[in-house]
Amino acid sequence: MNPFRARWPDRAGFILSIVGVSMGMGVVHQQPYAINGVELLVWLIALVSLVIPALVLELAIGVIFQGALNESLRKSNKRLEVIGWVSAGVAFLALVAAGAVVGDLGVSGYESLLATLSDQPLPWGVQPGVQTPAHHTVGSILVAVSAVMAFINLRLWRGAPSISRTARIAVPAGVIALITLILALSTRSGALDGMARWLAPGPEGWGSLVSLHTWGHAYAYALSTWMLGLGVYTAFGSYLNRSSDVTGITGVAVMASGLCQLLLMLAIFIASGLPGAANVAPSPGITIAVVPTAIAAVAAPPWLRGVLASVWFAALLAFAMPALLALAEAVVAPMVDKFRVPRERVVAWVCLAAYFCAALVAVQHGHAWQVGGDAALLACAAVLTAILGLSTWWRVDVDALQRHLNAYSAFRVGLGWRIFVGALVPIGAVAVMVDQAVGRLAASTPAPSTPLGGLHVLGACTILVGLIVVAWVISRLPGRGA
Amino acid sequence: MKPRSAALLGQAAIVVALGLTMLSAARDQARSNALTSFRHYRPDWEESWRTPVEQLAAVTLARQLPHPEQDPELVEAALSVMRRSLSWYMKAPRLAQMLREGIELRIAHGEVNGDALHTAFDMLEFAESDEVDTYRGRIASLAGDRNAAAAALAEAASKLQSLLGMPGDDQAVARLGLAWRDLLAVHQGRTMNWLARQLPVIAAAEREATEAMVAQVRALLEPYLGKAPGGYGETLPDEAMLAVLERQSVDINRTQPRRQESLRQARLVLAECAPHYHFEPVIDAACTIALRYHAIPSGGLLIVLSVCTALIVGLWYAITRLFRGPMPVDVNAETMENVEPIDLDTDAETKSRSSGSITDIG
Repeated sequence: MNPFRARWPDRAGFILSIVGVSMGMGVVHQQPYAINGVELLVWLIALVSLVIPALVLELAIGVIFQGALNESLRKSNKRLEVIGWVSAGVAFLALVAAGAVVGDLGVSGYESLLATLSDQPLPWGVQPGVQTPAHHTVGSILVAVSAVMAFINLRLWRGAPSISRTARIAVPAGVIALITLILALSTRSGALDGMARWLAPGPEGWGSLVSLHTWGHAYAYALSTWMLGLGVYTAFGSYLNRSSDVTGITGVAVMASGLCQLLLMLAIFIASGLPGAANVAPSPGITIAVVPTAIAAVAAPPWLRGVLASVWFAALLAFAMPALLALAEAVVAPMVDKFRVPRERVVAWVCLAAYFCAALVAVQHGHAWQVGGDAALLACAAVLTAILGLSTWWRVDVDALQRHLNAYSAFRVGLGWRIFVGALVPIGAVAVMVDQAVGRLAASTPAPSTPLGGLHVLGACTILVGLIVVAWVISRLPGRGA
Repeated sequence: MKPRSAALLGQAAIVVALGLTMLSAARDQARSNALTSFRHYRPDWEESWRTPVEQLAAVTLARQLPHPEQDPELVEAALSVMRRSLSWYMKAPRLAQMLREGIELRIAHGEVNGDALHTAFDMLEFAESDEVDTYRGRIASLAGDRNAAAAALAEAASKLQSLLGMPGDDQAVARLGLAWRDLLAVHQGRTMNWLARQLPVIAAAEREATEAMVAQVRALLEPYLGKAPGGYGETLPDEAMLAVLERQSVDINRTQPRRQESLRQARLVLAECAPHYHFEPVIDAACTIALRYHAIPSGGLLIVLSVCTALIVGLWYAITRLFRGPMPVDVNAETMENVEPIDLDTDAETKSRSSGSITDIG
């Protein structure tokens, strides 16, 4: 065991970190995971059939090879190292997008706090034409994004222990804030209506259970909220001891995340039934649109509306922080593992680069870029998950993985897991990419006069090709850890 | 590639990112400045003030007019400057010509989505071109011949009008919804556009369909509204009125569940096919309240209970198994204890289970 490798201080912190990643990515994507009862059922199936097998695989690779995805894959097979670097690149892009969104959330939270302190109405949903708190001045967003990156820089220096400490505070705080908000809103007129609409089987009834589109939606949400394939969990797993019970930890983390995600959905849909709430539609912006507009229209004194909005944005920020740290870790860990450079230096450079790119994204008009950007990231995550799954048949010694998992776990993984990981997960991921990611990417509306706004299939492919070239170049560099 | 070169490349990438950030911010600022100038422009300014703004408007139009839909706000502001400038009568034909060329080019390239030409056409109207009517017809014809679909819609609308409040009106609503969606659907690769919807035959059919659907919604809402005075629909809903509507809708939805479903279908068709139609405030509020769920449907309750049970039981099971520790090891089986560990090519050594350290958290 490498005595210098940072370790998770305890199991609870590690599990909460995983919960924080899934919750935070849900916040960043700003979409609910299921918008009707049938989708909720299918989402549960997606958790079991896609997330658990793929998560066990990613964590197991990190635990066994004790390295980030690039190093772990290199130890398994030198030709696979490039996949690890592509994953790190995509994780960097995800970090940029997440940084921009969280900066926006931070400004909205600050505005809510100001409204509370000054006893003024919330600055959205009151004037006609100002529907959501999505449009802020460039200066305020830049300040917020720099604060976010500074936070990541300070928290990530010490690696896993810092992530664990952050998650131990942020995730319970977020859950408490969510429960408070649910209790406060559930007594209002219309709350039951929102909940019933959410749980009703949907406009097509139970027939949508056999619709491929429903399954595509659920799998896409599962894939994008868990950010599988980006090396986050391999980096996390590499800070566990090799004798850790990966399967058991995964089971606990996924089930706990599922319950937390249910809470987030409940809050959104309770708010959606209140008078004045923005319409629920499966598009980016729902998290930031529905609840704040509903709160702004609640019949209560302005300061109370400000408090409720502050609680909501505090919950979102609390969930987003572990996710940001995890994405940054997925970029930092490969560099530290390969080149053995001081961690502090890598963290600082990654945060600086992410700040400039996030600033570039954040100053774009509105959130039009997010449809294309989300879809592109989803496509990358789907492809990388599929490749990782397929590589278990092709290059990674899956027998050894299975033996190791079973030797230290309270759960046995067998042929079923291998079939899921090697066949069903790749098939599901590719299906998601074709049905959801490419469709959304093609349909993304180009925003006027912005370089990133008109992101479409060609632009995404160009970025991906550039990423692969850079990843190949880096994988050819001699590493100090080799 | 040496690490030093890689570091240099990384720094170059950061410089490029910084440059892009500044470029983007500069473009954003330039657009914002141009918009402000265009909006504050006054024709009675002295010439030294007017000329630069007019020149900026001319440059903006020259750049944007081939694709006005990319930034309609900026194009419209620039055109409004040009229209108010003293040189408008001299420049108008040239601007209209540029817009026409843009439209012609896109039609020649096989543009079948007329709505994509909406901004360009609006600008052509704004530029007071003589050929607006010609282009109106040409863009409308991009949607193809829809007279048969319009006739079917008109027939479905009259059928619904004759069945208002009678048994069978649900089927009439469904038929009308189908006919309306068919009219607006893509026919042989051609999409419906806003100018085609203004053609007399189609506009008349859509008007009849809207009237029929509105009448149906009002008929379905009658029991909810009670014996309201004639002017009820013109007032704004107040708290007391909303409370009465809420109480009545609970009773009616319990006794006549089909009415709520019919209302939902009718509103769905209206929202989908005539999204710009708005009811009076009280009718709108009554409709919203009537469509509210006042209890969670049994199917939904079943779903949420199943999902929660599955997650809680799964969590409990995983936690108990996790705390119980690894399964007993068969000494004869191949495990990490008696099998050579995976050739990891790493400096990490495999720990035996019996010697777990205090940091051994798994």
